[in-house]
Amino acid sequence: MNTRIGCLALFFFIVTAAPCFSQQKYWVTFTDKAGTTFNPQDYFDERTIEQRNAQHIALIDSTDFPLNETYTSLVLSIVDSSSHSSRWLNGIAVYASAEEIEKVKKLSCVFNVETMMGSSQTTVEKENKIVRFSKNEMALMHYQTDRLQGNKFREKNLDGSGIRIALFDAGFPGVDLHPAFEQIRRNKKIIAVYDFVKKNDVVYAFNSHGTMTLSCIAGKFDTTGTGLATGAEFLLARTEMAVREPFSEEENWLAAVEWADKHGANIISSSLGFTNERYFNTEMNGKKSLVARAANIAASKGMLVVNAAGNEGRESWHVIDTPGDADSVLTVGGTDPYTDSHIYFSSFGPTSDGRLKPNVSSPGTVIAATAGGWAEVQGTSFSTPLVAGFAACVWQAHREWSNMKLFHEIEKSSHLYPYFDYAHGYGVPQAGYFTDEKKSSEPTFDFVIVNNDLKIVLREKYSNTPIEEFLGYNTRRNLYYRIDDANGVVRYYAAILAEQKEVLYYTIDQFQPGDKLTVHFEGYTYSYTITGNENPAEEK
Amino acid sequence: MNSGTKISAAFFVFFLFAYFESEAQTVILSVDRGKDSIPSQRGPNLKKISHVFFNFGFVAGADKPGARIKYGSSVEYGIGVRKKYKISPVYSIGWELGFDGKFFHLDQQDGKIFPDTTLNDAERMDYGSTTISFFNRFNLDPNRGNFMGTFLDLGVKGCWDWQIYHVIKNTLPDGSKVSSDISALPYVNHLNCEMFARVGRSHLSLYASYRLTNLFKSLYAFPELPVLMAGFELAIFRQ
Repeated sequence: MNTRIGCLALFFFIVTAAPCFSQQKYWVTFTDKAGTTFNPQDYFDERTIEQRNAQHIALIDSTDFPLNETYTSLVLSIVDSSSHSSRWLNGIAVYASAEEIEKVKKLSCVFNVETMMGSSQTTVEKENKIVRFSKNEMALMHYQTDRLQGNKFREKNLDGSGIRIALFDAGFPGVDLHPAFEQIRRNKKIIAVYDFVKKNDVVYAFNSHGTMTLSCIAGKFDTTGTGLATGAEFLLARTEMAVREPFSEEENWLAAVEWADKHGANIISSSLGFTNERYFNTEMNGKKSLVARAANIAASKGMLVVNAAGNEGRESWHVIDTPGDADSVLTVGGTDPYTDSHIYFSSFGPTSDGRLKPNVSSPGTVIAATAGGWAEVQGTSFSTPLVAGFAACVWQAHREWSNMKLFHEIEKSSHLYPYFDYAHGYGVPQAGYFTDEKKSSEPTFDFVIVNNDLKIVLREKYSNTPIEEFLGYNTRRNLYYRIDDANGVVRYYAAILAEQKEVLYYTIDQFQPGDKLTVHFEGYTYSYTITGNENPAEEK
Repeated sequence: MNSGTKISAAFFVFFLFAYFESEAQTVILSVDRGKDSIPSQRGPNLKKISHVFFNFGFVAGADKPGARIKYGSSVEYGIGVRKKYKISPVYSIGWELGFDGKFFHLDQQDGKIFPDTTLNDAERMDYGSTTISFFNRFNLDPNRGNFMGTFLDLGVKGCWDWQIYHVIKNTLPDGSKVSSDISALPYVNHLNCEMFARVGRSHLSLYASYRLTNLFKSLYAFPELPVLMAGFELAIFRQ
């Protein structure tokens, strides 16, 4: 008797648990959009049409056309229900059982079926609420825009005016009340809002992550801008639950990016990333994930997509999240204000197919507005809107540029360019590149090769200059160097504080013939390729 | 030590410090791509993973006349190490090595015959066991990334009950309390076997285990203690 009761209980336990596995979410891609019609004048905001014309992008292409209703009805007649659809990806997200999805696969109008799961992570690392601003916190607030030379934009009255930025986030509580956004509200700069999670237009609630990221684009504390694009217009989309919710967030991102395009967004600022719930870090190639594909389509339609690198630098995932892995996404890593170098949590590149990521970096510790006040926060979530605001100011000054021209000019403006590594990309974008006269950088160091020794020696002017400090930390005197093998593959990279004249020392034996050592210091980059027959007492 | 020696020593220390200081290099970032770019074999949905787990459960099966137990206070806990090998995205195998503690609180009521008919203030059987388990894991989200996902485990567990106590608590006529721990029990089996099922997602799972063997030697004809336990488990690993 006892045995029977036990077996029954065990059976009941398993059977009651089983139904939670019976339904799965799938992304169904159709073969074509035959028979559909599309009128861009009716569908698009006039800003979208302006943007496409300005960038000589075809006003419409097949991705803009709606889904074929017969196809969607056919699928919906088989499956349980649908949540979102995408014109760009010509697909629909459905809930279905294994049997149902097998039937769907057999439909001639279905091109492909992919299982959907995985939730995003807001790329916030740490939050410390501020009750009363200390001197250091005020200094940090100024630093976060000063590091990008924000004052040079302000001198030229560049504040992102005329640029429309779409923010995808987990909620925007307090944006309708907080004094940080008073000028945005007064000037009616919030053009449209939508909650893709609840499918309504209530976004001034939920998680304050979006409030913080918006403040890093356009917030103000008294007269101090906490971001650079205080004059921009905004589209606020809630795409994330913040509390992890499998299934929906990736498709929310897909829906939001099409919504942003429809409403004339010039820039998308997205401080989130998708990682291991659906993907392996070896799949971060910009082609695998739905959001990476959608981000690339967004770029092809003239928008600049700025996305966080992610905060996985010290986690087992370690690398860039998606859609930061997408080729046409300007992926932003984080720097530490106290070292002016990579901040410990910022995800590393390259992509799994070897492309440079992150593209650029900016401060990963900032002061941001929260739902009810201010906080010192950390994360590439905040590096991203700082760069999005920067991009808005540049685009305001160069409306004739295409999004990809803007993308590459921002890379070129960065403080390490043409040097790069997989922690900083090209470094922190600098406004002076766009506002000041171009100057050729003078050598700041020499390669000295004597016998078997290879030394990097700082020039007199730079070895005697006192090291700058920020809040008591030595900063802005970093020497960056990278070793590439004969095939151009990065083997090693590092950043050291340049505290002495002979700042770097190697022996030639430590290299392989063909290795290239590239060094960057104070705006000057130089490379030396090891031949294996180094001439004694040679100075480069 | 005279003052001259002291000054010399101070200078030596100063110059030694200055020497090392001048040679020191403050490395802010150092990334060896050779090591950094080797794909990992270890992860929740990679070739293998090892991790620690903790479990806590309650006696859930029916008790028998003569050996009634107190539900709620009769519990088990466990700690162990698990190793899982991925065979395919939907199937893995694994083994566990662990330590279990089980506590059966015996209800003191008329008709009690295990292990004797005496009614005490409190009475329980305590088990300390080293365990080894083998399990099959069936994952229900084959398209997941490097994520443990949602799974069903089915397995068997061997228990070596190396520590078994019969614990009795009573109050003496003078009001003092006395507790007796009786070991070297002649009627117990020290080797037991269970089968178990676990349903979980990521770090958390619910489990039920069913004992296949008898705790007591048949010679003694004692009613068996409940065979079914159910509880939850927390697995500690990096996603």
